[in-house]
Amino acid sequence: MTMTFEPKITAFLCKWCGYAGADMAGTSRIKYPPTVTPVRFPCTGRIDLSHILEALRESDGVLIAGCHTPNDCHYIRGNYQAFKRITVLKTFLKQMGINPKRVRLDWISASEGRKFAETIHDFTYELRDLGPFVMEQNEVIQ
Amino acid sequence: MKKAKFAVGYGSICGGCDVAFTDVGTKLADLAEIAEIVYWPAVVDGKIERLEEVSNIDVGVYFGAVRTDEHETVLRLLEEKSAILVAFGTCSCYGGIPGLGNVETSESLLATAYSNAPNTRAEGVPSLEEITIEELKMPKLRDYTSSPADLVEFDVFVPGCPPPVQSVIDLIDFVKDYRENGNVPDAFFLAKEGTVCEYCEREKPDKISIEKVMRVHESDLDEDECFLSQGVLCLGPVTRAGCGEEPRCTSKNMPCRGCFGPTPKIRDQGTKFLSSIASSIMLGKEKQISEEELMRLLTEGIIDPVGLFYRFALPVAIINRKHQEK
Ligand code: SF4
Ligand code: SF4
Ligand code: SF4
Repeated sequence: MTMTFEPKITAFLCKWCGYAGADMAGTSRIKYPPTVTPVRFPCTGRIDLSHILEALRESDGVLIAGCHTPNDCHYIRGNYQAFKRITVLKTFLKQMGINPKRVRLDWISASEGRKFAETIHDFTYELRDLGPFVMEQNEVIQ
Repeated sequence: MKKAKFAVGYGSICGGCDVAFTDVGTKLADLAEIAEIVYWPAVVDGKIERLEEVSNIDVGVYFGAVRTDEHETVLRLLEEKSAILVAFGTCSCYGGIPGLGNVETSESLLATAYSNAPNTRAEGVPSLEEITIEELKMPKLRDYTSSPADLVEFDVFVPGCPPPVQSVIDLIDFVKDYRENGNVPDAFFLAKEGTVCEYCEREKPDKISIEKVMRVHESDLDEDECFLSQGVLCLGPVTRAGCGEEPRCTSKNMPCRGCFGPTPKIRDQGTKFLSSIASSIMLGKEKQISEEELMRLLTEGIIDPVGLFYRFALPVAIINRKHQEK
């Protein structure tokens, strides 16, 4: 039997919704694949595209999860900042020959533990299909 | 006093950096007075054997990016033989315009240039590998363009595409200073620390919200107002200042394209700008339109992020070359 490839997901979660949703999945003992490394952010609006790209260099996919639009964001419009940034990021990824599906944005509220687990399942399947993300880079001094 | 030995080597260039030197006019005569030009393909001798022979170069200057093995050979020879190594031009500092080739593979670049472009005849595409015909060698074309500054350690950086006249004058003064006092600078930038915006005289509003991304020819530009607040993309906020007392482009009614590269505080010029422009679109008014409408504004407003935002520094970006995925 050949080993199946297990993708590595980095998840940027806002502390009010995405992260609380992940917590809810945990306290409700909902199972999901051990493919995800969560990182807590104050708000999805705080996530710069350079954070996402640096994370992608070390992972196979990056998930960003925050509060539902239009009105759940604790900072009023942070979720829209993330939405806008990730939309243009996807155009950039396509130009660079990277499948834009490797970056995924979802709205997950504090009570949606089940949705968090399903998102991880789903993203893991998708990334298994895509295969590993190989980052070839220039040789750099230092 | 002995003349300083001065050498200029080429990577992947357009010729503009040579022209920048001639732009200083009579000041060039000063250079001839204080320096002996031992190697400079456009000026004295361009054979690599010549560069292999000379020793103890005082100031070695590199133009261009690294795309072939030969480019790297020239760079390494200069590094090995020069007391002061200068990265001249944005290509040399950050990979520059030739670095945009990194959005394609070498195979497809050659196919476009030699066969698929409308003005070429499809008579075969040259090989990527090194070719030798009798004595002549065509170096191997590499998979991607590298920034020379990622391969060797420079003492002086002269950004700009091409660098402004003042930078060339400063560089010549600098050769003089080295010859007289032996000063070797340490990672020294002939540029300023701040952003282009800090030197731009245009009126800037406190908050910028772009309702539609405009191209220069589509808008009736107010010559005294910030480009961004008029919907025209200007890279001033992420670009290093130093191209002039007033920025070269914005003072001539053209937006900054970012040729001085990122400011010292920024890791990646294009990514930073992409983030901030995306959030400026419909800033504060996002909820007035549907998400589909917002998405359409973003995808139709910014169709070529690489060409717009990574025009001069793609080889040093976080993601800097074409990947091959389904
Ligand atoms: S920096 Fe600009 S002017 Fe100089 S070689 Fe590169 S593309 Fe040409
Ligand atoms: S964005 Fe451009 S036009 Fe506006 S202040 Fe900055 S440099 Fe000037
Ligand atoms: S305004 Fe911008 S693009 Fe124009 S010369 Fe200055 S740094 Fe370069």
